[in-house]
Amino acid sequence: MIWERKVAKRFYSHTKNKNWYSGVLSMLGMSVGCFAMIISLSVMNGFEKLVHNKLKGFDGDLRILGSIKNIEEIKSIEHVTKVMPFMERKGLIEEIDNQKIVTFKAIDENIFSQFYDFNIRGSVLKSGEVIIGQDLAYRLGKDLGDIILLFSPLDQSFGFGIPYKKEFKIVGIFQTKVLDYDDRFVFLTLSDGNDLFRRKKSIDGLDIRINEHSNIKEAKAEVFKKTGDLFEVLSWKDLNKSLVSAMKIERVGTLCVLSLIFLVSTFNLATSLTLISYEKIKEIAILRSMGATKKSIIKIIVRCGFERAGRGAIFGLAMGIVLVLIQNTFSIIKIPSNIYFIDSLPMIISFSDFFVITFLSFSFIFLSSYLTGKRISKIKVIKALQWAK
Amino acid sequence: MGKIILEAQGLNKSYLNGNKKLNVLKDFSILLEEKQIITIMGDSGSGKSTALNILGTLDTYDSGNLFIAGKVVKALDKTELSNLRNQDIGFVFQFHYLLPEFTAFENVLIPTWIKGDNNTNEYANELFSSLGLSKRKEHFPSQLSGGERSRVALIRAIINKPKILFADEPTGNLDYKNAIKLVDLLMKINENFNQSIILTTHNPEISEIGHKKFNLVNGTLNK
Repeated sequence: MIWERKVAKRFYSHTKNKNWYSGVLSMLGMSVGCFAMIISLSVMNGFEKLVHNKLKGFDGDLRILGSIKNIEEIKSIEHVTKVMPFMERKGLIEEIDNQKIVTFKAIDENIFSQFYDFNIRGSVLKSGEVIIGQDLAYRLGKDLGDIILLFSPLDQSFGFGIPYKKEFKIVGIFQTKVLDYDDRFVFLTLSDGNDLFRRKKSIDGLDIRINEHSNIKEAKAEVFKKTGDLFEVLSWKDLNKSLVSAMKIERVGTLCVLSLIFLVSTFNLATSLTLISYEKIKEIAILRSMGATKKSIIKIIVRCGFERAGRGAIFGLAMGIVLVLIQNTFSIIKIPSNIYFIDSLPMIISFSDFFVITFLSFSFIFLSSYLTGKRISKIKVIKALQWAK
Repeated sequence: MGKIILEAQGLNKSYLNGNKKLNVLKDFSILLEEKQIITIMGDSGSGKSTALNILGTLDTYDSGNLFIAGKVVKALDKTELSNLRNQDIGFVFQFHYLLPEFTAFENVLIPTWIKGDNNTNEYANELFSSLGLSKRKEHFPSQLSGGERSRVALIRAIINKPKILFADEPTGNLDYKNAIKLVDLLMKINENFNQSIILTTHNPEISEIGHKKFNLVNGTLNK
């Protein structure tokens, strides 16, 4: 065993009882910090995954933009499991004295239920029918079976100036609770899309779903290889760039804010270590008189810091992981399913998060202990011995 | 003349007491040869401990030259100074200064741990047995008597076979019987291990063990 570690262990275990609370506080502080970090990042990961799944559930994993013809060739790519051709157009829903701007999405009705992964109330889509979002239905005051009038101003005939309008029956109401999708999208069949979007000659692109275990980057590269430069291939992350980056910023923000807990506990640790050091100042001076270098004294204080706060950090990390495991196994923390579509708090802890939290907590412990050790090591041997007499 | 282990040439040391300069050591010169015992006698406050601390590199001096084991002390960097303290110098203080968290045996081994030498257990055992402390090895300092603590501190000071042993009033805290016992041990160590020793005391009887005897009066060393 390295001698500094041995000395640190003895110093730590022989600290007088009067300072026990300061040691417990620094241990507790680190413990709470690590626990809070693990829990909040796990919950954030859980909700992030929920949002990601919803985005993917609506848009698919990849999107090819352009009027691609060889759909079968795309289907044959190893990673690809489902392909949904679509046409998309901004349009209007006309009410008696009101018009609502929406996005029409014409899709292949035959694979609608296999491709999309979100809650739908109602029946399957057929020609002359639409599926609209819950918020839009609420705004329009419509429900299943009601008729709405759709038209596409972009496809207006310049000759007469009257756009083509068509009535549709609402056969489904979907709910995603992601962004403004529930208020914006109206699904209709490709044949109705062809009919309504008179200026469009072909589809706008393909939404693609890939194998669950496939890597999205690899799949994107494969698809791009097939399509070539003529078409743009976007992943669901590219399509929702601002949301994905906002979530990343939120994660960094959370890490920074929760690091403040570490910061506070490191102040406490520094105080606690200073107390130990002054209590052991005579012993430190004796070690110096026997030839221990300043570096060795710093090592001893740093090890004392890890003995104290390191245990707290490990305890907090362990408790956090145990809670995540319990939540994932027994779902003890419930959340309202009518808001979140799930009935228990989602918690996911990744290795990288665990590594970052461990690294952060141990860095704070090291920094605090190192600075205390450096200050203590500068005390003159003679003064320390005289002081301790 | 034996090999020179330590040479101090005209060392001066002063402290500032407010605006007043207090000269603690004035033109302090001393020469220690191999196998030699030097005793420095002086009253309390005469500068004995300051002199010993400076010679033992625990304190700095204002002017003069100090050579230990052929090295110019002022030219050494911090690590070299620590190594010098660890390998060439042993200290016995008036207060035993054993680490209370460690057993007697561990206390003795600490200088060897610092040196990075893990093969000294046998030598430490020999020393414990020659100083009659074999049965007290696993005791903590608080479980030892004053005399036993001093002897453990003495073993600790010589465990790395230093070139010089500094003893700062080693008997100052002991009763007469234990003081005599410790002085006998110091002489035994000097004879058996050829250990050079510089010892400070205010006891004229103890100062008689020195091959060279000095008096320190108000920071000035007299023969």
